[in-house]
Amino acid sequence: MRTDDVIVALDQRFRSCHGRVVAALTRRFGVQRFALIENAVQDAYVRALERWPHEGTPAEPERWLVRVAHNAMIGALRREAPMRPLDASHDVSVDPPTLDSDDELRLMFLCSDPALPRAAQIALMLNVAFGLTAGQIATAFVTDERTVAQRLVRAKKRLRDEGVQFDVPEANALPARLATMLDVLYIVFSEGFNPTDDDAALDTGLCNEALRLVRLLTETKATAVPAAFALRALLCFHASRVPGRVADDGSLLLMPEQDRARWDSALLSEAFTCLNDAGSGTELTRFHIEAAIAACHALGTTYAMTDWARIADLYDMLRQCAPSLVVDVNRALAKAMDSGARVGLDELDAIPEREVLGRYPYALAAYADLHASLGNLDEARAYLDRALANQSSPAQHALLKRKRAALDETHATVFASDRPGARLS
Amino acid sequence: MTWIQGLRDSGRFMGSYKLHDQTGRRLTIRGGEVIDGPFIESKDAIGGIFIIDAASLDEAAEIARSCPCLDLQNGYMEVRVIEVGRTDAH
Repeated sequence: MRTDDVIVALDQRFRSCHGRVVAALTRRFGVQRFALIENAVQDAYVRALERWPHEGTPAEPERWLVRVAHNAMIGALRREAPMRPLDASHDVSVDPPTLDSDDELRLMFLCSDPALPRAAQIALMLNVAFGLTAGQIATAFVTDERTVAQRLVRAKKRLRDEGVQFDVPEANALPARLATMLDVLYIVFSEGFNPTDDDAALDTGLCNEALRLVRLLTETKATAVPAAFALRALLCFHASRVPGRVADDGSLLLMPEQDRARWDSALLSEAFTCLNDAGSGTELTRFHIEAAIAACHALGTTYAMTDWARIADLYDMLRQCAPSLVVDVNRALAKAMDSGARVGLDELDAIPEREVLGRYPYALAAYADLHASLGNLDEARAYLDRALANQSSPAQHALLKRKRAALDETHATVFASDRPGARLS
Repeated sequence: MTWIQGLRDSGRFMGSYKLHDQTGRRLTIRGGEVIDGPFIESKDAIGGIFIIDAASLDEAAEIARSCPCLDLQNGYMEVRVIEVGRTDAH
C-alpha cells in the first residue's frame, strides 16, 4: 500500500473513532479539560501515523489511541501543576478509560447544552465529536473560518465556566438536544458529500459516520422520533447516488450524466421505508420535505423527466419550514426546470440576502447556468468567473472550470460564425 | 444498566417539532444562521442546462422562443451536456 493511501486510510479511521475516543477521555477527565483532551488525542494520532505504517495497525486501534492519549493527558496535567498532589485521575497506573458505545451519544448531547447559542452547539459538536476543522464548519455555515474559530473558543470556555458535567440530559431536555444532533448529522453528511478541503469529490467516511449515527438514533427507543427517520431517509437517498456520482477519473458527474442504474438499490429501499416510517407522527420537519424532494429525484427516469412541479411545491413548503437563501437558490433552480430559466432568474433576483448571495459559489453558478441556457453568454461567463474567485472545494472548482472552458468554446464558435449571440430575454 | 437502556425502558419521550403554532405563524425566523446542505439542484445537477455551440444556440433560441416550457429544451440540452462531458474526459 502506498504511503499516501496508508495516511488517507488512517485519517479516515481516526475520524470515524474521534468521537468515541474524545468521549472516553471526557468522561475520565471532565469537560473542563476539553482543550487538553483534544491536544492529547491529536498527539495520539501523530504517534499512530509514525508507528502504525511500520509496526502494523494494532489489534484494537481505538484502545491504543485512548491509552496513548490518556498517558499524554497525565503528562500534561502533571506539567500544569507539578506540585499539586496527585489524585486518582492523575495516576498513570490507573487503567485508561474503556470505550463505551453510549459515550458517543452522551458527548453529542453534552455539546447541545442550552447555555450555548444554537450555532455554537452545532459547531462544537462538529468539532469535538467529529473532528471537523473550523474551515470545514465554516463552509457548512456559509461563513468564514475566523468566525467559527471564535465561536468554538467561546463555547468551550462557556462549558468550562458553567461547570458542565459529562452526564446524561434529563428526559424532558432530550427533544431539544436531539434536534441539534440531527442538524449536526445533516451537516456531517453534507460535508462528506461535498467536501470542503478534500481533493476527492466525496468523503465517504464522513457520510458513513453520519449514516451510522442516524441509524443508531432510529434504533434507540428514546430517540426514534419521526424527524430521525426522516433524516435517515434523506441521507439514504443521497448516499444511494454515490456509485453514480463519481467518474472513473475521480471527477464529479452531474445528475444528467449519471447512470441511474448504478444507484444503490438497497439504500433506496431503506430510504423509502424510513420515509414511510417518518410519516407516522403529526409533525413535519424540514428533513421530511428534503427527503420527499430527494425521493422525487430518485423516482425520475432522467433529470429532465422528473416531477419538477411537485419538487417546486415541496420547495415552497420548505421555505415555510426552514427559510434560507440556500433553500431559495435550489427552489429557483427547480422553478426554472418547471417553468423556464427566466422564472428561475427572477426567483434568484428576489432573494433578499444579496451580500451573502454574492459570495455563495452555488448561487453564482446557478445564475451562470440560467443565463447560459437563455443564450446570455457574457453574463454566464461573468458569473462563473465570480464563482471561481470564491472559495469552493477542489472538485467543485474543477467542475466550474470545465464549464467555464465550455463557454469559451461557445464564444469562439459564435464569433467564428460571425453571428450575434441570440438573446432571448 | 446503560443510560440508553434506561431511557429505552422508561419509554418516556415526546418529540415536538411543530411547523406552525396555533395561529399559523411561521416559527422559524429568517436571518438566523444559514446552514448549507446536500441539495441536488445546485450541487449535483447544475450544468444540466447548457449550450455549447452556436448552431445549437440558435436552434435552442428558436425552440425557447416558441415553447417556454423547459422540458423540451432540457431534453435537447441534456444530450449536449453528456457529449461535453465525454469530450472533456478525453
